[in-house]
Amino acid sequence: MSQEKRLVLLDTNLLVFVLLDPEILFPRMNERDKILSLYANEIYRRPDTTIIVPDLILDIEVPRVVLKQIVTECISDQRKLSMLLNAIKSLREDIESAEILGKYKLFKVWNSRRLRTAARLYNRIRIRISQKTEHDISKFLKTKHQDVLLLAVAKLENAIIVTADSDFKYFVKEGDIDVPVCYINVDKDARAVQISLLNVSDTDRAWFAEINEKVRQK
Amino acid sequence: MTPQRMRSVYIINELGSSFDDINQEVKKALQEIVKEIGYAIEEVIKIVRSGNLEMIIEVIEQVSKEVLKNARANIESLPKELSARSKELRRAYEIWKIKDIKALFNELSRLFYIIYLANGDKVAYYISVHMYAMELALHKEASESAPLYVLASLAIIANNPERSREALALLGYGLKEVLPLKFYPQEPPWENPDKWSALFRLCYSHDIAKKVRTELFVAWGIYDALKNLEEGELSESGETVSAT
Repeated sequence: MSQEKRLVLLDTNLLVFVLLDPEILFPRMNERDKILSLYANEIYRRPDTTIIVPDLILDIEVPRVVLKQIVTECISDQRKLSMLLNAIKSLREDIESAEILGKYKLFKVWNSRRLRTAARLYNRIRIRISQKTEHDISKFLKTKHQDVLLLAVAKLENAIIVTADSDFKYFVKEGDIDVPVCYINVDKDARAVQISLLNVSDTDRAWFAEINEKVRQK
Repeated sequence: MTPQRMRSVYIINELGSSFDDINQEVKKALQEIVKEIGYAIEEVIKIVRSGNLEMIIEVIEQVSKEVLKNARANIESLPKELSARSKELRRAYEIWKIKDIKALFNELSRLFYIIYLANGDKVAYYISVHMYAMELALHKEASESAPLYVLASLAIIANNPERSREALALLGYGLKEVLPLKFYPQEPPWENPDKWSALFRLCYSHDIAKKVRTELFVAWGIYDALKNLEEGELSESGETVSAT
């Protein structure tokens, strides 16, 4: 039973497809998102896989988005506000339940060792890319602190990052970061899907090939 | 008939002003009904009150066919029993116009999850969980003793909400044949109630809570905002640099 599970870190915009109900979202998705949702949910369904959820997503990102909607959409009804707050609380409780069964793993980012790793990666990426391209990417990189945090989580947990965001591929490749990344590139019309695997072991390649095959069948 | 899409939003719009009344009326009705059912399945209830999970399961697996039949009949008559004691619930039934009993339990489960979200009342949450369990217990593939497991769980919570972990573990074990997710723990529930309870909670979330949250997040624009999280950050920063 205690067979070791593969740890996967889904990028935030893929994690959303797993945390919410895919059947309800599907009719509202564009073709690209439908494909990405299939990949994310195929990964979630696998019994040999645990999805890492960094606590900053639940504690900072989701409440930040909800707060933004409350202000910009003028949601001031007390009942609606309670429902939103309790929905976030309930989502967290569900993830904690799934953690008991090994489906998710909540990861505390707010820890000095972990944040130090993120800061080191940040500097490494900044220096390496600036050396290679002779461009100062500091300004751009400052908007990407969260991606670097996810890279640090993956590095510390020995997890593979699955993402549709090309920045991860760029940071890992050009910044010489040894974190395994699976980048799913779906073009705008969803006519072509390209998969790039970086720093990925043979077992992880076989694991992703199975997922890829199942998604293709759908 | 309730529109299939965005059923949660429909429930809020139609019944939002009655949430508190429905909650109070159904809570009171359930207390009474659990007591009445208790007389009918006394031998099980005695063990439920004082015994541990292993003893409860042993008793449930050994009761007569007659008791199992009664338990099923109790569940089948529950929606009617509740509406007879709750004016606001009768109004909900009139709005929903649902004939199928399993669909009705599903809608009741959604309603009480929404009430839980609206007022944070944990009792409403457990009512929702048990309405979903009743829906599952009536499935063809469910075991014959499934309805009795649900009533035993309800009796545990009604008697002592602190034992919710055991109650939910009982649901996970008693309904295992019809659970939508098959991540079965290897240990029996009396050895690892945490895992069995988590399994049932996860299944409930899969079929009820996650769907309700998604509908609300879509209706209130949260889904779009979450999906565009990173793109939004980039455009806010005014950056046009392409990373690739």
